[in-house]
Amino acid sequence: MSRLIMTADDSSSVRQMVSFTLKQAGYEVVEAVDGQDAIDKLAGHQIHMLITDLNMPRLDGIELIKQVRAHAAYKFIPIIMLTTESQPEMKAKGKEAGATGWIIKPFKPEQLLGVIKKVLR
Amino acid sequence: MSEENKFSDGYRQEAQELLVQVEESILDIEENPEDLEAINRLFRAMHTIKGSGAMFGFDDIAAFTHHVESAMDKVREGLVPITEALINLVLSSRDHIKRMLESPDGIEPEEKKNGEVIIAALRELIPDDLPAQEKEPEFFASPQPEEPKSKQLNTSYRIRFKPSEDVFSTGMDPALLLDELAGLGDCRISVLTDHLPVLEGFDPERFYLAWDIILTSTCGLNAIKDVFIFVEDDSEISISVIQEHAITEREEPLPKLGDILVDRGDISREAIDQALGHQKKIGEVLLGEGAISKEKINSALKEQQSLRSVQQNSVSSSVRVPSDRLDKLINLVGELVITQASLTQVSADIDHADLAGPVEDIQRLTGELRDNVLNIRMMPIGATFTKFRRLVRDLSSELGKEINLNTSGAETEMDKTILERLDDPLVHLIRNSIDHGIETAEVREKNGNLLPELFSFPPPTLAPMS
Repeated sequence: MSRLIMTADDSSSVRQMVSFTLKQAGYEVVEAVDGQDAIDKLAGHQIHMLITDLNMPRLDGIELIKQVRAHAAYKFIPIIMLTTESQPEMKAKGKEAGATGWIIKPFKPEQLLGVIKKVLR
Repeated sequence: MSEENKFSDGYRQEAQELLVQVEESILDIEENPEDLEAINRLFRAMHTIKGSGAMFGFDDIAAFTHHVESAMDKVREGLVPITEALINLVLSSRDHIKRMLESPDGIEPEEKKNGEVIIAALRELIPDDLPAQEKEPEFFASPQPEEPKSKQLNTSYRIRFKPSEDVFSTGMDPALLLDELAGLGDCRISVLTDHLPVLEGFDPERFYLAWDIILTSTCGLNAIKDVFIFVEDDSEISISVIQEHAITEREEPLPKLGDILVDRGDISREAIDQALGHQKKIGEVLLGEGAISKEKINSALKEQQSLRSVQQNSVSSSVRVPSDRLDKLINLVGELVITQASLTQVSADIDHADLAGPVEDIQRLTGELRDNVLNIRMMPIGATFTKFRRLVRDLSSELGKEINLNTSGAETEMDKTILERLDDPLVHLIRNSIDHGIETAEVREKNGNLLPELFSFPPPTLAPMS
């Protein structure tokens, strides 16, 4: 059974690239344009993993992570922060919120797939 | 259209839309400098133009936009006020980015200069901003410099990995990290259940296991550390080199079970000595005394088996050749080289087209033969290091002195004869250093000294004796 990964990013080009990379690797993908859109779409999907940007309108990545972790069904799914923020305090905030790991932009598709392999069975 | 072009076109389109947003936002801010929503909108637009630009190869745009993003970051933090100068600069930046987007072959030098003027003006307004090119993009993989692959010996590592009890709540499955380690080389894993609570206290959402892993690989230490990058802050992880496996004629003595357990810190030397006094197998004695768990014994035995297996493979993949036969071969090759040189000279004098080709081939083949034969005698010095480790360890115990032995450059090759002749002098040096050059632990503590580093050996490759 194919794994369903949600990608939340307000950049359409990043969503396009992440989506393409994941689909090429055999994953199914659902896209969200920001944190609130991600929360709304969770109701209609059973995701196995979340990849989220941190800086997004309406609901940012840190808040999104907190709300996903509070959801009983998603207490233990892997969540990866996809961000240009390389400051340690942002990574620390994300980890505190419940993120599993992070990738710093810019990244190569193979790096993204390498991280997914590390955290998703 | 290739996927790369599709992504680039997608970025251009998105960036153009975002620049419209930038213009609208800055004009809103001009009307109302307290409009936090507009400030955040403007910041996010710049952030996305920069981040996505770097993703899709628009490095110049990313580097330039970084300055405007930084400025807006400070505005939204309340560190920099909105001024007319800043508004004008943001609008100029927006126009400059647009020109860059519309010039796929690069902007004119005059335009580039204009960009530099804008950056300089932004820096004047926000003095502690760093230029974009000084910040290198951070990639997830390999935060440390990778060790050159050609120099990596097959090395056995001992890894002890104890994830935090709430590792599941981070979404991490530690078993996946074991799979990743197994992909790096030969991996033998022992689970440790010392911290498993009784059933009544067992919480299925918490994690109670630990693992001892013996990994033999050429991947290098950094690749192993990268496996744990997401859990290193919250887990107990120790990685140590057990042995570097050079190709060697000699079978190196395997560490004994008791030595392995002491090295790991699982038991004291005194307990081992006491157990040995019973003349049973050390593992049985320790188990009988309840001094250690069966799992730790089995884990240490696995380490011993792993090293034995690697050693057997190393030794069996080499062939023993008497030294005098090698010497004879080298002499014959030496004479061949001289004769080939004469032949080349004669061919040049005769200058016959049919002769020149074969003579050139002989010259090339002779050169290769000479290089290969001389390399046969080259041995990695790492084989000697193992003996030194054992020597230091035994002397350390015998004299009651705590000593760290650090070696590097095990892959450095030397002629076998030089290596053999260096053996005794180096042993002599080490003995003398330990006997006379290093104080006991009590004296060192009194003097406030740390454990001494005894031996550091990173020599360059030495040429063989001809």
